[in-house]
Amino acid sequence: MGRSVPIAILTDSHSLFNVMVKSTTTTEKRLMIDIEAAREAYARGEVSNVGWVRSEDNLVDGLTKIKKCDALHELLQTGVLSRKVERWITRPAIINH
Amino acid sequence: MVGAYVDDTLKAGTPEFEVQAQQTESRFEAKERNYGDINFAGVRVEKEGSGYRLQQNRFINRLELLPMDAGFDEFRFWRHELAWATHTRPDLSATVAILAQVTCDRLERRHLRALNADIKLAQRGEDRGILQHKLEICSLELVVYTESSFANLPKGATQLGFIILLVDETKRDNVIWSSSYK
Repeated sequence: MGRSVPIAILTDSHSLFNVMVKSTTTTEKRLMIDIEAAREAYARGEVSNVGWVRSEDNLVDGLTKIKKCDALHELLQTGVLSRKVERWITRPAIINH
Repeated sequence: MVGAYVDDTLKAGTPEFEVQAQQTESRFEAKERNYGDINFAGVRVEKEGSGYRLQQNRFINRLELLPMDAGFDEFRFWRHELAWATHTRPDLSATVAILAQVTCDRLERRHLRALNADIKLAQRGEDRGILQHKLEICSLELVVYTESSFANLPKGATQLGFIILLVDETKRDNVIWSSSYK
C-alpha cells in the first residue's frame, strides 16, 4: 500500500498496563526484558497505542480457556469492532518552538 | 486479496491489480474467472455487502458428537476435524489447542464433553464464519488483542492468545490472524 499502518495493542491485564505506563514496576526478573522491549517499541513509535480493556471486552479472553467469548463471536459475525477501550496510554504533547 | 494454499492460488482485486498479475498468470494454467461466490481450500467465500464472508458451514455440519465412551483415536480424529474449522471459526481455537495437549493416558470424559460443546457451538444455525468488510485505506490501524491465563493448564503451564485485526475509522475490521497456544 506504500504507507505505514499504526499498531495498537490491547490487554485486560491491569498490572501489565500499569507497568507499560511506568506507574508501577515489576519485580519479575524474567519479565523485565520483555516489558522494557515493549516500552521501547512504544517510545520509538513502533507501537502507536496501548490500551486497557475489561475482561468481558477482551476479544481473546476465549482464546486462552475453554469458554464461549461473546466479544469475539460478535466481532466475527458482524465484522465490526464495537467493544470499548477503557483507558489508553496518553503520549505527552510535543511542543514545537 | 490473495490466497495461497499448497498449489492453489486465489487472487481477486482491482483492474490495476489484474494488469499487474497478468504476466504471472500467463505462465500458469488458470481456471475460468469467477465473479461470484467461490470455494477455496475448503472455505466458502461469499460476497456480503461491500466485503465477503468466509465460512465452512458445510464441513462443520458434518462434524459428529462423540459418545462418552469414545476412545483416544476417535477423540483425536474429531479434534483434528474441529481444528480444520478454526480457519473460519477462530473462537474454537482455545478448545482445539488445549485438547491437543491431552495424551492417551490423560483422556477423560470432560475432554469429550468439551469437544462436543464446541462442535454444538459451531453447528448453531446463526453462526456463519468471518465477515470481512471492505475497509477505508486512509484510516487503517493494526489492532492486536492479547491475553494469557496464567498457570491454567496442567503442571502450571499458561495458555496464551492473540488476535490481529486491520481496522478503519468506522471500526469495520478484517481478521488478519489469531492464535491460541501454550
